[in-house]
Amino acid sequence: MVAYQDDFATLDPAIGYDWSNWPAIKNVFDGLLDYDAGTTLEPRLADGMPQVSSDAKVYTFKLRQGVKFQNGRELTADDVVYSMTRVVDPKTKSPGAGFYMGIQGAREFADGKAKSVQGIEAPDKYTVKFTLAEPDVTFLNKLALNFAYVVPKEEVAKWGEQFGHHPVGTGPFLFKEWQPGQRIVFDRNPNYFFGGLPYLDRVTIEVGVAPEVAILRLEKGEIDVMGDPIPAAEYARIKADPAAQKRLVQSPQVSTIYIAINTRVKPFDNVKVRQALNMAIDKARVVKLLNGRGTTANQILPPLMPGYDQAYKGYEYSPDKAKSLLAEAGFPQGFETTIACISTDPQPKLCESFQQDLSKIGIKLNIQSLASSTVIENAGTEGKVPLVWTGGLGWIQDYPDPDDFYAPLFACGSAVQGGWNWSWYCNADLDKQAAKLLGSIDKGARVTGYQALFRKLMDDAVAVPVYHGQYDIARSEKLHGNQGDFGHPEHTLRYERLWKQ
Amino acid sequence: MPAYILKRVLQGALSLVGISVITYLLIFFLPADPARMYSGPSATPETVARIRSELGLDQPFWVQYSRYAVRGLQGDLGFSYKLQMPVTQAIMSRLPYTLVLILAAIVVELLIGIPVGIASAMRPQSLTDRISMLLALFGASAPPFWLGLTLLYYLGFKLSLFPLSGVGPAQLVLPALTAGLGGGAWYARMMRTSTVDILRTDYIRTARAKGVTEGRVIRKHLMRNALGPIVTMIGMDVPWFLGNIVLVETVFGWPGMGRLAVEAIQTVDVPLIMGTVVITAYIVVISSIVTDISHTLLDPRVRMA
Amino acid sequence: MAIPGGEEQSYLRLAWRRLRRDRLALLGGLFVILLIIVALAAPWIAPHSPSEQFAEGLSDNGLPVPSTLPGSARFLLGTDPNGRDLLSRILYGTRVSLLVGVLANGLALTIGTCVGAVAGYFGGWVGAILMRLTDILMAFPTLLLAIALVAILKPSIWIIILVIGLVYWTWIARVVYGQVVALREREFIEAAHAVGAPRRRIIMRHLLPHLLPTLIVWGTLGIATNVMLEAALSYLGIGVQPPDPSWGQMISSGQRFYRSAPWLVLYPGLAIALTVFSFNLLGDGLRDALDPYQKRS
Repeated sequence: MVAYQDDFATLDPAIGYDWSNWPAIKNVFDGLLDYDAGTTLEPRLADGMPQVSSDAKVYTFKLRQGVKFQNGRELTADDVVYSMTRVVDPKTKSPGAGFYMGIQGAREFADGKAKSVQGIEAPDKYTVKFTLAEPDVTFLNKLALNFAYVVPKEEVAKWGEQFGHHPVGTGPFLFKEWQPGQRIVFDRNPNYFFGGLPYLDRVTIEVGVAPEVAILRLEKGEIDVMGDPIPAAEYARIKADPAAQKRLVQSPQVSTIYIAINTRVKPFDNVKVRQALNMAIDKARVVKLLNGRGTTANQILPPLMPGYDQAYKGYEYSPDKAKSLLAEAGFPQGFETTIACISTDPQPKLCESFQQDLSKIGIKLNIQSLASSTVIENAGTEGKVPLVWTGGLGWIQDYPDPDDFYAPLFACGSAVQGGWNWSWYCNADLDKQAAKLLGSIDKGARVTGYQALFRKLMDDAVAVPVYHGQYDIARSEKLHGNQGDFGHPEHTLRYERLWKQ
Repeated sequence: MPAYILKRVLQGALSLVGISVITYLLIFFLPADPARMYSGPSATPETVARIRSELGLDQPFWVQYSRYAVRGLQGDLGFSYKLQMPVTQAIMSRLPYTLVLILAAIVVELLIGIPVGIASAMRPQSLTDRISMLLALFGASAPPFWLGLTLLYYLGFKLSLFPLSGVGPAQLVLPALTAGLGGGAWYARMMRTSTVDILRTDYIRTARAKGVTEGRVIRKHLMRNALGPIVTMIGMDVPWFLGNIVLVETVFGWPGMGRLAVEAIQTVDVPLIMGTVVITAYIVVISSIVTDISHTLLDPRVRMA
Repeated sequence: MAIPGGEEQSYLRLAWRRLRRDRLALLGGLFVILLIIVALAAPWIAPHSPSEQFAEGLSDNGLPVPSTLPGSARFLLGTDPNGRDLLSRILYGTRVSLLVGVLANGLALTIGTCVGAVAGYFGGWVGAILMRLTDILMAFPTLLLAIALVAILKPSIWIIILVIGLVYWTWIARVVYGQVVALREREFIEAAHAVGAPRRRIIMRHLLPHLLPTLIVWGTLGIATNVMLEAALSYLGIGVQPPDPSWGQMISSGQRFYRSAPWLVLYPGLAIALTVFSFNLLGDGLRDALDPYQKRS
């Protein structure tokens, strides 16, 4: 029994991209590849790791034979082709389509110039071949994302847009029922093909439970896992109580929460103003407001990511220097600007803290407090908001490679309508460097390459990295699993590996 | 009588049309672009343009509206972007919870209002009367979300008398109490006024003079005479609750329609906003027609225009 | 507005005498005056700035501090989740509440009176159309309509005032309409017509003064409703925006702490309840005092 505050939007793997539904989608669906307890890839629907051509552009998978969809039909290579094509099809409106645009012919297909994606083929019933336009060392990681999970064509056709409410896949659990605003129930899939999983007979996700209520019910034993972050007040109490602390599973989150500075909006087109912002934010106070859940950040990459620069010290916190920088930039009296923030606790609190920080250097900050989907939409529309606080929508890695913190967040190709480059920063030189790094398999060279690249981003002050998150989850003592099953770096919860006394 | 009912129904139908036009106008001026919402954040401008014309969103207002109205009459209120399901289905899955909560709240109001009101009226200007009327007014002045949180804190958390969340009969008590306390105060005031009025009427005086016991007087005459005002109050209550119950639903996580509407507005889920506002307003109109008609039936002297 | 004739003046004096005897109404009135003083004098009576986030306003693990903790006596009612002084915020919140309550109500009264008076006075199809429109608008759930309007217009204190005014006038229009229809048939209006007084003059000089008692009562009760509506909108996060302190917003940010810091919800809630309560008491008293014809119990 798991509790969340908000109802889920969908369980369609091509569409779901929320903190809460991301692990639940994995109950019903599988991908070709998946992660082990850490961040190493292992085959799931595939029979083994793929053959990779010498130019790192062609990936050939053999499928595991005899895997059945929950409706009884056997999964074949055609289903993989169908599912991948479905993700890049603009009609599906998948937020993950961008991950697969590197596949040859995907762009043409999405633009309606081709009937199918040239680079996705099924030579026989159990073989799938992907061809990329450019080499990409992260492609296999992208195949392990939910978006690439395999769906049965006939069920999608049957339910149409409502497939997300009637999911059918190959996964460890069978979708049983969904009472909107109340609960979603999954039952054990007795025919699951992988590793004797799952252990639980049933997973019930209860929604509409406020976090402060969820934690109480957890302590009473009414629920087993609290899906949402633990509320501030309760967190402090749990930390102080050794008995309660046993219910806490802590994992570092590979994330950086930052303020994106729109470099195309005045006065943030001036690098000095952006640097002043970097010096004006009291990051230690933010971490304190979060009850110490996290560490202050001085760079864009999080500590656990290859390419993190131990030696880099970043901008110091100094309102005085920030103020003189502003004066140098021609704003001795400051100015008025706006930050977009999601309206879910604790983000408004943090934005109010920025409000005070900036008022010290003469900047009047207005807060635009909106639902997350609206913040994402506004931030991805050029010139709409000057500053975006990414807390609550922050970039948590999709795959363990520094590219995940460059290409989607700061590359020219993402500074487009609906992209995630909310700094609207575009530097062709950096893009070239990044493309080279993406095709390189020399790990050492990649690390130094990315260090230089992210150092340049910080010199340009395209964002204010504020803190690196920490993932704390509360669960009852009756529920067991490894730390990596409660706080897996890619999946967070891994329902299929949990078991109950 | 049939003529009056017919007139009332026609007026109601006109209101329904007006409501849907006004709502559609509001949505029309919404700064968010429904085509973009529908096509997802990463769609290219061309895709958005294509979807806009596919959905007919590039058509003039009246064309769009009449298409919406025709579909609406067939029970199709569009498709929610956010919930990925038909609006009608989304509303129908939430509406019963709101109605149950409103019903429970009205029961609470009557349970508080009638006894308190009568007790106060029997001894006008006494201490009991004054204190209960004061408390009643204070109850009506407390914001429901605050009342809810306070009840949750004391009755749910401190005393553990009620479950803190979930959906079920036990979980209904606190929200109903929260929603009903304020309204109960108004019922008490109304009940007191109408009781005082009735107690002054000749036939009650006569009844008392004849030595009929007070309990009988109350049972026989009072309740029958107070019924009209109570029905009117309930008729006014349903619309009021439909608009305001969202605060109670938010505090308690009750899966009702109010919360659905607020979520729709916050996520700019245009078809769902339309659907919830229109359905709510329709229920308001229908309940006011029903109230008026039942009022006429209860008291044939009344002919309200 | 000048009240013509001696009849009205003695009437008002009578009303005042009645009001003076109504202890509850006086209590409400007293509290209303107190609120106004607090609102005006907030900068002088508040111990701190309402927006300063004190370093010592947060405990070591980032929680609001209560007033009972030794060493934090400078925060009389404790601090809020951002480390601001709760008492100062509540005192400043009075400004926001009253400003919204009064201005929104002024707007609603103006629109409502105009629509109601015009519809009632002219009657016929003009009246029918206006009142039908009012009925349609009344069918909308007030709070939902307000939420939808604010979402369209982007929240700020002025937008809140505008929206509350826009959703609330229908009630006043209904009441005024009823009164004007009744007044229209009265002799003095007919007499004014008979001597050929221009319509504008009749409305301004004869109708409005008779509407005044109603407007005063609704004006007072309406402030109560509007203060509540503002609190509700702010509670839902689409009302007054930070750093402006609003009671509803204080409850919404404090409710997460209701187990460890119940004062965050308790005090702002009491402030709302007392404000609404006193305006209701005063309004009730005014109604009793100004309307001697109403059946009094």
